[in-house]
Amino acid sequence: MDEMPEGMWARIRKVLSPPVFPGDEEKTRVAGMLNITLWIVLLMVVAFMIPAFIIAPDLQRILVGFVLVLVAVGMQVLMRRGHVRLAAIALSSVLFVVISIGTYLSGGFRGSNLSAYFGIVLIAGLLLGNWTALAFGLASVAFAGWLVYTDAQGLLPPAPATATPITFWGEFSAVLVGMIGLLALVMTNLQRAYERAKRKESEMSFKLVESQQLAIWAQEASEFKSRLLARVSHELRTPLGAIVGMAEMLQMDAYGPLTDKQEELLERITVNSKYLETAFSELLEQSRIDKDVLNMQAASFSPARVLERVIPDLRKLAEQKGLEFAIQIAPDLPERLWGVSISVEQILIHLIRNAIKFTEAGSVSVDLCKVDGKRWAMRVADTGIGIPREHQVSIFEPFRQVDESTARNYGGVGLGLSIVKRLTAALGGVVRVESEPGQGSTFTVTLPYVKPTIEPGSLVEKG
Amino acid sequence: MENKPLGYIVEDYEDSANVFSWALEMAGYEVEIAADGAVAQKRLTEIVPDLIILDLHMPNVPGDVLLQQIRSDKRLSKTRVFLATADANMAAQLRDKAELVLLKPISLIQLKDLAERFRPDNQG
Repeated sequence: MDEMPEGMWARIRKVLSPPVFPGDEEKTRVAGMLNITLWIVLLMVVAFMIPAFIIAPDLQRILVGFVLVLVAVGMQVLMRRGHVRLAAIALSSVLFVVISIGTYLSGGFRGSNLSAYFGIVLIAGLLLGNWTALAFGLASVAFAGWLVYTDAQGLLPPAPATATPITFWGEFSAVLVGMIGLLALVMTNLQRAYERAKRKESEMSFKLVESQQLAIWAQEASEFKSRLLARVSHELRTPLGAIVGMAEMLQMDAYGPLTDKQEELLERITVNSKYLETAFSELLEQSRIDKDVLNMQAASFSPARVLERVIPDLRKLAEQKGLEFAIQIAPDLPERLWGVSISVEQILIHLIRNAIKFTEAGSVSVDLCKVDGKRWAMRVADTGIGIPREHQVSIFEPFRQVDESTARNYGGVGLGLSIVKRLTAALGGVVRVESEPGQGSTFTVTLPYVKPTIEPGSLVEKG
Repeated sequence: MENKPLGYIVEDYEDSANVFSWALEMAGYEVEIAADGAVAQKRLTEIVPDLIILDLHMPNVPGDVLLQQIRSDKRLSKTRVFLATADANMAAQLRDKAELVLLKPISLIQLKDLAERFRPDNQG
């Protein structure tokens, strides 16, 4: 025993134990039972056939033993290669054929043959379910019927001398055992099906409750966030207004002339206040988009009027930095378009403000044009610092700027472009950027041009 | 003494009210301030301002209610109203009911320019 190599037992156990198919519970279960059945068949052949062969060798026994060994080994191989169902069907079929031949040769149908068929039905049922069991059952009945008919005609070969004589109790007990086995099989399969259904149902109802709860939490969190942002930004803006106003008052020399140092400090107060103001605006707007801008109704609007509303302030901003500022509306752009004009306005403001913010010299230009019969576009081009290729996607994410220092140098909290992206998406359009670091950037927002069909109750902007 | 237009500021945040008041004074208005919606409601039955700067978040009577009353009062049909608010949401909703909606923080100079432009003697 001591000389037995380490791992020998493990190897034997591995050969004896059934294959496991991860993720397929049913297949693993069938393989487990098939494995036991196959080893029992092999054991039976070894335990009965070999001694019987030694005592009274005949061709029939050699043949049966050989077939059964072949079946047991062959099915093992088939099963271990993953063809579990095929192996189970083949085993049942081979047993059926072997027993049928045995019954035919034993000189007539009797109770013990019947219980052998019950055994096959039992194996098929356990391995392959009720329908396969039924199929084998029907095949057994058909064969038995044929055999009884052939026997009545006197066409069967004579029974061997060693055959057990037929008795009523022997027949009865054999049939009884078979019936009990079948009943147990049906009950087991029904029970298993019931449990499986029940488990699935409880899993599903748990998942449903879980997802509903998550949806409610998400909704609440989103509403809370919107309210918090609106509230905070409101509470901060009011005092900020007073600071800006008072600083401006002093800058206008309303209370006497200022020294250079006082002027400089006041200038810093104003610049910092403006920075805060931009940050609050972005935060507030983000919360507003979450809340209801996305639900706003589309209406007919004039793109020229939208430009009139947004351009004056922005032009001033560009001129303060000494930038050229050009606007162009393509002549073939329809005078009236369809969409949420406030959203279009916000997109333009953010894109133009962004362009001015990141451009130190050169120009900012705004183009509105027709793309094709279905779409129009707003294009904002600048000659600013540009955006490295690797950041051209992430700049549209909330709170992202090219890097941390960008926020300090250029102001804003990094929500502008994410707002543009969300508004554009809500309008059914796409936003795209082309940029070369050091050369400038061009943002293009392409929006669908839906022909204004006037529906009852639809909004049409005045003027 | 020349007849100055009357500017009425309804704003509960005192520093903001002061800044608005400077702007209107620079624009040539006579200025009166109310720090409470209810006070303003009562006072507006007595005076006819040319311009009202109205804050929306106010104690007692909120700004939007006051705006509704101003708009339905025939005596005040010529009165112009600037809404001053930090609430962009409300600003968007009330856009049509006022001459202008100003989102806080409001620049003193900007307010002065706008008030000047809306002076009754300055309308073409």
